[in-house]
Amino acid sequence: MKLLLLAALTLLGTHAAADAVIIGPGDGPASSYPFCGS
Amino acid sequence: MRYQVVVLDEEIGSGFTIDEISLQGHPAGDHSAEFSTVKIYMGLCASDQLGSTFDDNYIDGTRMLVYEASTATFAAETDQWSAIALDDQYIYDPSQGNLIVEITWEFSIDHKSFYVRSWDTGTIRAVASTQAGAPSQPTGSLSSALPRLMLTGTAQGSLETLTFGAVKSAPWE
Repeated sequence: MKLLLLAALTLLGTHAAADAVIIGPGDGPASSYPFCGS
Repeated sequence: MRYQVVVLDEEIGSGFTIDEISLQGHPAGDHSAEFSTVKIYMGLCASDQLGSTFDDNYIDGTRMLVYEASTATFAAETDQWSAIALDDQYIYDPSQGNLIVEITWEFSIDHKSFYVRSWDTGTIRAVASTQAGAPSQPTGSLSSALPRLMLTGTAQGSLETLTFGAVKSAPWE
């Protein structure tokens, strides 16, 4: 039981650090916003 | 610079505790740029589109400062991500509205521009002001172009599914 709990917590910790969502397609044009300083 | 974008609830997909936001480097321009007095705000928007008055785009009382730095450098090679770790997590609840991300800075330190990948959303999803004193400018120019963004943190939906699924599948001994 302790091993199962440890495995679940490990999986939970790994998962919690990895969530990411990407907004928008990956082949778009260049934008200088929001970091256009020149 | 005062720059604001809206991310739609369906694009995020679930409740999300945001720890970090990232923008993706583009081959054009410089691959690094440094700015003073950088701030990032997050909040909620009742509409899928933005108007030209920054403050009016927020649902009243929802604008929160989540990052502040006296100077900050944003850098990434082509297609790599430039990550900004927030000082304070932002807990996004899609049932309350769309997500506004607002970035402000006072002036460019090295006079460079960090270009990022963007996309045309087809609707007005961004507002920008580059005038002097921009962080306090009330209005900006409208655009349908949105930088490609990555939100990193904890997705509430997938976390619950995994957590309860793992508990349910474990035999009780």
